[in-house]
Amino acid sequence: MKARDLSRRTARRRGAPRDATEDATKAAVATPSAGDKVEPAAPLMDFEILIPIWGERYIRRFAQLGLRSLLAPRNLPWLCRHHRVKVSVMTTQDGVTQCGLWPAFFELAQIAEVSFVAIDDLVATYGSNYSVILTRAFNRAMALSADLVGRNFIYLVGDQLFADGALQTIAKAMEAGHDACLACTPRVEIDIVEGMLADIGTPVELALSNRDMVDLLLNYPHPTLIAKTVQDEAIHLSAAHQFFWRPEANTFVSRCFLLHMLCIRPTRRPRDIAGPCDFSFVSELAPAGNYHYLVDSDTFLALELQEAAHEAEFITPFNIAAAEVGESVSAWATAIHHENVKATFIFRGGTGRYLARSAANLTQSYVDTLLGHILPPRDHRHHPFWVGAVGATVLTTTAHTNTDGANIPRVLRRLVTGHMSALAPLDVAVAVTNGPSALDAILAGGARAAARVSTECLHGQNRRRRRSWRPDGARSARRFVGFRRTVF
Amino acid sequence: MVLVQLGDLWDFGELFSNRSRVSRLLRVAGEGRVLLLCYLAGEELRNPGTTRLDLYQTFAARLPVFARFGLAARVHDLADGPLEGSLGFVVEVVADDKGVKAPTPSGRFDNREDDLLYGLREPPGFSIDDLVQPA
Repeated sequence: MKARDLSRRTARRRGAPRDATEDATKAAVATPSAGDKVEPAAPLMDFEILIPIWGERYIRRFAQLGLRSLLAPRNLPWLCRHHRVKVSVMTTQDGVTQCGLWPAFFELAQIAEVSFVAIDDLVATYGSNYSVILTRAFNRAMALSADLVGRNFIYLVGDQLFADGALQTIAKAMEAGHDACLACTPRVEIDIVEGMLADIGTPVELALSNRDMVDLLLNYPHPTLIAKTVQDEAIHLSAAHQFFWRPEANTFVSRCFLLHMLCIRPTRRPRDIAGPCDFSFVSELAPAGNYHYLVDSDTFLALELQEAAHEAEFITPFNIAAAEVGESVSAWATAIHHENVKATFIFRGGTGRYLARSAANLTQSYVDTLLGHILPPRDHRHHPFWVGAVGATVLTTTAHTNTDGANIPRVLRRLVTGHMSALAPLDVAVAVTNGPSALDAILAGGARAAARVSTECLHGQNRRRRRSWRPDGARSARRFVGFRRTVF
Repeated sequence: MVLVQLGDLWDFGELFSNRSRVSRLLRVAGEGRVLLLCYLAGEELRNPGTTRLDLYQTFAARLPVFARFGLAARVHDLADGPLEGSLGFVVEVVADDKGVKAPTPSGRFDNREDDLLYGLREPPGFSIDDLVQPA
């Protein structure tokens, strides 16, 4: 099957009518469950759920946990009854088959229009670079969407677990006119939680209350979450982007630079998005800043399920003080991250009643200390994490070469510096060479971000055979020896 | 963005050897972006049958490709004096305000290659295969 065919394959309920309501969700005609209250009619909005998921193990886990929780009554079933919903699953060709093995996917196709978008090439190209595959898969699915602007995109990942009512809360926030919803999704240890949840619910539904989910978090927090819990103004995680406090036995509080962009309604169609999705999507798609932070676990909760060993290498036995954390955060934090940290998230389990005001007071002094050590935000476009992730070498003004460009022909040097001055402040400069050159220092000195990529990386060929140039233009058969795409 | 490619004449020839290479380069080019394709030609100029004029014509023959996408391309001689005669040429590609702009694609995307988020600028109906030299 060709990738293009796969991207257009749509799972439809047998016998579903193809009429003017084709774009509306199938479940619009379904009977509400007995527990649903009669609600005033809200204007129908378009929601598109984007789920990148590949690999048998992860598809199985998503079908057994994440998808079942999305099929809880006040999540997808509620959303489908009140709005037009489409679900795009970005997966490999094998993944389509694997998805079909699980009853939860069948149930999903019963209530919503489900499309599969092929990402075999992304998985093959970027391998274990999960962040790039995720970002580019989201980009691809959005680009395939007929109406990008004004559509509500819900960005999911396969290892999330949602409380019943999470999607209802998101929908109501978007109905209220927000451009985006952001949330902190704390990690729990999947090794323990997976077995417990397997026995709850039905094969196609896992309805967990917000408080029950927070109890899972309180009882089985991931080791990295414990390591980034602030005690005596210090943490024990060397790459922390979120910070937790546990003021009471049944409460967690967090302040976060990095949040999950759960839902965005684009207000514009960007030309390029050259940055990881959680660094760039909100700013690029909805730059006005009309964002809603889902700060209260009683109204919204999603957890991230992770193996205990995940990122264990960043846990240290030593105290890491705010100054050191600030230096680490300065290396990557962008404007949206500086905005995110203003929100205080509170997670209440059991009978907890910890107040939001108390949570803000508890955490503000540490955040203020931290911000005192953090440099102004970086530009999210051509962020060093992205440039590095797509195969480029990030250039700095001090590394790679100490020449002043003396080996570069004067004509070229004049052209380069002339253009860099004319475009100042210059976002990014890229040298396409197969090794360090005197050009590196010139570019690194005049642009916010500078990178070096190989000729193969730019042009998409991963190997080539060298030939001598023949001025008569005679050539051998043209060769297609590889495929790799890079976005700058 | 300023993108500077360093290479030799073989690299320049390779650039136009298949669709994906030209396509990717054009994707990088555009408003607010500058490409400098710099090719050193010392080796080729040691061949007695090859003159600087031959090389210049090799570059100049490809410039219309850029013009079709609203990009202005100029060839500069890298030799700044008589002692630098072996250096070669650099092709400077910038967005041209006076040039014909590539039309904005419609909202519907039928092909991943049309993905606006990747910044492709090919006009409808245009085939880059036209630029690929036959075997």
